[in-house]
Amino acid sequence: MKILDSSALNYIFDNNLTFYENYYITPDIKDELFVLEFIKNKKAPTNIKNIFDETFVDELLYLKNYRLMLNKHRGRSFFNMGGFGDISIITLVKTLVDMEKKYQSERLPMIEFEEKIIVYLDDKGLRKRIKKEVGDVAILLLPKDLQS
Amino acid sequence: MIVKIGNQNAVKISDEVVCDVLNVYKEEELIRRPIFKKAFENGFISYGELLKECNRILIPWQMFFLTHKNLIIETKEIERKRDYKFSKKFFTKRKGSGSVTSKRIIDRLIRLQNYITKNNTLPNNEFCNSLKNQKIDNSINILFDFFNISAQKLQTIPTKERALNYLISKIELKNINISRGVLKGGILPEIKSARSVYKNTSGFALGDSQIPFIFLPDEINPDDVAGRRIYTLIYLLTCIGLGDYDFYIETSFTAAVLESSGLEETKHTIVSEFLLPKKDTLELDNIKITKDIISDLSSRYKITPTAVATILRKRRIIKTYKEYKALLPEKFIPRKNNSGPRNPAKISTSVKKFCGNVASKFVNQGIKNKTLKSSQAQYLIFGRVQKKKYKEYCQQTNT
Repeated sequence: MKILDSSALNYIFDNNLTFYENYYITPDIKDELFVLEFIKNKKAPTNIKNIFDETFVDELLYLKNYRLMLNKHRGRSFFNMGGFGDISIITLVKTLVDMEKKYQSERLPMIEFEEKIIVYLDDKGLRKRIKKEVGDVAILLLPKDLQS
Repeated sequence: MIVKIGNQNAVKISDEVVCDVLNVYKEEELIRRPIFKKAFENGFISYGELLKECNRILIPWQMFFLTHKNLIIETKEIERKRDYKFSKKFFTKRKGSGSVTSKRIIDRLIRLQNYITKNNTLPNNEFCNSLKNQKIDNSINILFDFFNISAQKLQTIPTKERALNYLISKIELKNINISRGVLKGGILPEIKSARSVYKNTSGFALGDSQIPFIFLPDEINPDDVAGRRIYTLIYLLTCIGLGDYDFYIETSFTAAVLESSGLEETKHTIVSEFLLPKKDTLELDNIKITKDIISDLSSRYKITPTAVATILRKRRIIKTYKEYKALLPEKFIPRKNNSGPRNPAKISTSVKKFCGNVASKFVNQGIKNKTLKSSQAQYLIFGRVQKKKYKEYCQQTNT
């Protein structure tokens, strides 16, 4: 599963990238996308999807993890309302990893679940926090890697 | 309580946290809102309902998901920033119809002020403290000269509303931000309990060495007529000039001017002299003052008839208290604003009015050069994410 943070979204728009595969964003990042489309005066590629538009992501688990990550990680501010996009990315990655563990242990078939979790992001702080949460399970790439 | 998605339990949040979050603006009594009352009774709330309600009351839903320990840290930080401004050094207000000041409005303006000063290198505002230790006449000259205000123009402007706009435009050119209360555009919560708080909210100033802020209630307080706003504006400006922030004017203007002493007396003298110069009332000294004279002076000098009568009484032009009481106008009954405007205000107009022209320029700059993320800009402008309105705002302001 390929996940985009806001720096990756900006990169896609600035470089007019298009894709054949699906890329996913969280609801917090989706708020940025709406405005980005307006500012750049173009629509996002149709295969950039909100994770909850797809039915396989466990929304209950996501919300539970959101609360955990919100309270565990600093770097977000209620004063200037920054950093919640990062919280949502860490939450999504953790949720996917938790789902993988859960389904493996229950031996249920996974529908359309890719083995690798890839996150495209710029922020060094966010990279550290994702690694701290899930180790090397997620592959962390830069936005410019979207072009390759 | 449990947050549910559909019929399924998603996550448990603390009742104590929910209470404490809703009491961040205790004066708005958000805890009595039906959705939350029901949630406390039933022990659960749906995630969708929580999001909708948070959108109405302009509190980020994520706050309800904090642990109690983290919420204490967050609210302490908000209070720390608020208390800093509330200290003797940085906050002053003119008392409104009641004794409540909307902390929500104060917090929003503190955020704006902090955003500007943190993200821009600005010179110190030369007006701050420039009236300290000055004689009254010098203070008046400084007010007119520094802000390039023409007394003659002020008197010939036909209405008090336009005179107010003239003063605001001059003051803002010197980097003093003037914010005004708005009811339109979803800038402030459109809920009944919040509105009753706004009605009682007075004008206030937030000190700062670079960008002082002045807030005038305007639309949110129906008692706040243009003449009163003009007085409040010059009064708060004087506080900034004197660097004196710890004073209230009573709702009854009379009490404040007639009983004031010390620096308060100085402020009222400066404001009175600025708006209704003594030299222009000398000729009235031996004339019987009538309500018509009061009314003419009120129109010409752009202050309320009450203010005129009180100033003339203070100058002993109105000789007796009995005479003075007889000349006071009938109690002002504000018009009920039952119908909405014929043409709803443009969102950019409402934003500029609430944020102030100075602050709006800095926010727009931040949006244009991308130092301000769109969600952060929306919180600064609207107090919440409002994508459609933000889009409209950006279109109207070409940001």
